[in-house]
Amino acid sequence: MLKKLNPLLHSQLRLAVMSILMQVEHADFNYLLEQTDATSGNLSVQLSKLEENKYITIKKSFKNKKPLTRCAITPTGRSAIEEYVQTLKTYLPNSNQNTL
Amino acid sequence: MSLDPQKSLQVIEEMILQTRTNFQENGHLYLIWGYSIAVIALLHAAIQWFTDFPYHFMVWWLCIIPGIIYSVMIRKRSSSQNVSSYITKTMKWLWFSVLAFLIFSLVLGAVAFNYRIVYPFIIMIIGFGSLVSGGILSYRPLITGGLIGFSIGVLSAFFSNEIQLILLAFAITSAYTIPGHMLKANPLDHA
Repeated sequence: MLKKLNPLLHSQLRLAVMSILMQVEHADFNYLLEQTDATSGNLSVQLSKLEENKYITIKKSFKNKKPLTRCAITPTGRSAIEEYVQTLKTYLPNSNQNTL
Repeated sequence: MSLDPQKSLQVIEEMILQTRTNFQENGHLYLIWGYSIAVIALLHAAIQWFTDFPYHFMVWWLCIIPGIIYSVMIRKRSSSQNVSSYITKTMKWLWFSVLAFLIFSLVLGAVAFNYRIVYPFIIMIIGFGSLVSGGILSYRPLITGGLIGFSIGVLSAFFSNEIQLILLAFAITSAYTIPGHMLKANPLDHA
């Protein structure tokens, strides 16, 4: 029987954010907004959910008097997405798994 | 929004590709240094061949011009940068090490050895920089250009100083200029 995919990551926007944060040290809110084509409100909500589950950290500060929201993946988040990808592979036996 | 596994895979792949697309900006690095060093190397060879000017090596001070241009570009870019990737960090340290190697090689060439001995190592490190960058970015034109540059460096050990300078121009064109143009034109087609 196939293992259930992590519901927290099995959402297009949250998965996109986690895929980006996997590759970077940290990324600002605006960068995530540009890359995911999401709306500010939706992105804020999804980031909060990821933060509540300790998948990411969010630090708020100011840069040149403008608010700066910096997101970074946590070790828990990293393990979760790695496990998600492993589970995903069991769903895709004939796909090109080398890309992940 | 519901996701099927195929769509999940697509989302992950798209985000990885989009993050990699940002390295298109690195094309400037290869073009500025590629053209500058090739022109200065050929100028140096021409001065050595056609004149008796004893301080021909002073032509390398012209590197200050692309150095300033590049520093301004880096400063502009870092002030607008809103992401810090591991690859960018690795690349910074790689090119800092390559630059340090180049400077110390030139100093050693001036004070301890003959430039004829030092140039092959300079050409090899230029190829090495592109080869490692290409490996990190999984970008074939840089890997190929780096290998060509590295091979030209090895070959240059068997030629005179003037020929080495011309070979340096060829090496930098293969390792920097050509991959730099390709990186700017379309970073993902050749990956």
